[in-house]
Amino acid sequence: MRTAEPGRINAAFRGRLGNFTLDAAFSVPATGVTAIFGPSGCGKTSVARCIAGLQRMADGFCAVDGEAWQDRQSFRPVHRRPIGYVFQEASLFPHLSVRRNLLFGAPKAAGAQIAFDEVVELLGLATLLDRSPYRLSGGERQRVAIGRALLSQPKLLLMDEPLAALDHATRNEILPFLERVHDRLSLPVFYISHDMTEIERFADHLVLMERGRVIDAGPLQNLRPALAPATNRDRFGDCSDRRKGVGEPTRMTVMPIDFHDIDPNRVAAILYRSQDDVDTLLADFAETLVRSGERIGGVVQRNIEDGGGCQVGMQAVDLMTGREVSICQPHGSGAMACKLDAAGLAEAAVAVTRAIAADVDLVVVNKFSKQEAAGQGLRDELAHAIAAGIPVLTAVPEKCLDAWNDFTGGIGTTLLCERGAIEGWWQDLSSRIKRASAARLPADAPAASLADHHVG
Amino acid sequence: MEIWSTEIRQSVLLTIELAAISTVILLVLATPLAWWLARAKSWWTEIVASMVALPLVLPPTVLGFYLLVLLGPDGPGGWIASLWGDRTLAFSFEGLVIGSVVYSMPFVVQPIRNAFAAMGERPLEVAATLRTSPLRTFWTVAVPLARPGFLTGAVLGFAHTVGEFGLVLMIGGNIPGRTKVLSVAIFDYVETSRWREASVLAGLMVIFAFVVILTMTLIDKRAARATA
Repeated sequence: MRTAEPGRINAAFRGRLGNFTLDAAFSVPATGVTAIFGPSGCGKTSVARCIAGLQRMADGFCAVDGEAWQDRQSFRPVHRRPIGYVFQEASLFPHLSVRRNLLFGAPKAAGAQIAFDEVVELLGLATLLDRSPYRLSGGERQRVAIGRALLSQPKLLLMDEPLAALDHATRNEILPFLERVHDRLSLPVFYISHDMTEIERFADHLVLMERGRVIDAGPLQNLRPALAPATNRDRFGDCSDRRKGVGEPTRMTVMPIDFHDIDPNRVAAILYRSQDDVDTLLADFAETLVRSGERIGGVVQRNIEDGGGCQVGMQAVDLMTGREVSICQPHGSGAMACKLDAAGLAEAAVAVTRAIAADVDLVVVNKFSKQEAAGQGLRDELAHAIAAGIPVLTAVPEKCLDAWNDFTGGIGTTLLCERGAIEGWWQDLSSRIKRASAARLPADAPAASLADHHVG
Repeated sequence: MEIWSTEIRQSVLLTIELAAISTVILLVLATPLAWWLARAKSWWTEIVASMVALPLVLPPTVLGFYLLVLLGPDGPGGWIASLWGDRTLAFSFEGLVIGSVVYSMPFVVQPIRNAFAAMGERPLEVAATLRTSPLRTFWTVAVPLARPGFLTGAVLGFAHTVGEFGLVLMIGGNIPGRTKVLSVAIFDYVETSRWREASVLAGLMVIFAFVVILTMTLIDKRAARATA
């Protein structure tokens, strides 16, 4: 990774940042969009900042298209690197108009590859040019920031979660612009994100990061089998297709459901592998929310272990009543795990239905796995909750991701099996919902105050 | 008019001249100092900051005493004065300027430092990613963004120079046309029981102070509105 190759971007950064250790190395083609993906705090942003030169790692190497920007002997300062950088917050210069922001980094000489008019047209900025950044919406600001980066004629564009600070509607407003930018300009891009749905939309290559390390890098399809075309479905065993459930009693009364007008951000699935303890994670998360007084409902599970850490059973809890859904049956493979039997399942279904009826702020359903993939289990309850527009958080084993995507029609957010990712999603969503309802409130307020007055 | 005597006119003009020259010098010196204090991370930043802030706490007489020693014929001030054939910088207009600069420095450095610190790293990083050199970034981004800090610093520096008394008396004395500024003149008039003149000058100072505070408030308000 520590050689400069034409046509490739080679990077290796090793060192400590505070109490965080970064040890990331990868080599990707210097064409198309490379997504750097990983949970919050995994070092994605640090890698982008190192490439830009905003952060200097003593032990670092960075070469773009055969040109070394950093090696053992030399370090090219940020302002000499032909990059464009889009930060998470638009960070426009508040003392300059939109036009002067756009032109801030633009070379004075004519004959630029990316022309002012083209960028204005591409990002729909024509009507904003003479405004002050204070008078722009969040989405407009981010579009100006992208335009400003493009007009500096970069040879590499770095985008650090450019949509993360925006609400869902604004995100959807910007995504088409981003796609146009990627389609029209043949510019290598690093796109940093923790949101798989964004990455799926335009990334060609993927760098997967975890705890400061690169765990994999390569073309997108190779890294995410679940995203590949249906040809290699058979790798997913009995989860790949819900029609596997033929011959068994199914409760698929309302399938398929049309989720088209559901806010996809309200549906989140924690993607977990067999070694992840998703049950405890979800149960702890739900417990914290219940304790802090949030109105949540649904079902979580907790594995019961003996003193030696050996799993001896399972407990399922109705989040609204706090009652245990007690009826379990052994899973088959010894006493290592068990699942809800028919009666337990019915009780769990009631728990979810009750939560939907109470219009809670969040329905947690652990989980969407083999049974649900096969059209049974809590599948219908999940569907009802999603269709009711209530935020839904569930867990999906990696091998059932395809079935989950079939079920939801591909909407929703995929979360990593980490507390931070789940909390981030929920904080983001709940604050947005609260803002939205606060914005609605003033319309009702006069009536309310009138009523108060009347009573007084 | 009898009240607007040459004597009074002289001390008003002298005061304005002293304050204006001091403010310009203060801004030139305080800007790089404030920039360094706002951005350096070394352990001795705060030591330097404390030294700059000393005049806030020190009695003007103490400051005046040391300055008198430094500016006098046996100090470095005497040596500098010998360059143009003078014996000392004490009891001269130049000495007053030096004293005012030292005395008012914290009032100018602090708001500018705060303004530089408040803008954070981000605008400078953005400018760097847009291929702007550090020097150009300083003039086109940092200074415009810190404008309220500069305005506050300049107004405070000017006002404090106008208002200083103890220090002027220590190092400047009371020479009409050279070192007799407003605050000293008022003291002088009171001492010699010339109440009319004293009350006119005191009244002018009250109006001046009011205008300064009003200006500061308006600057603050404008800055707050700009960032809202």
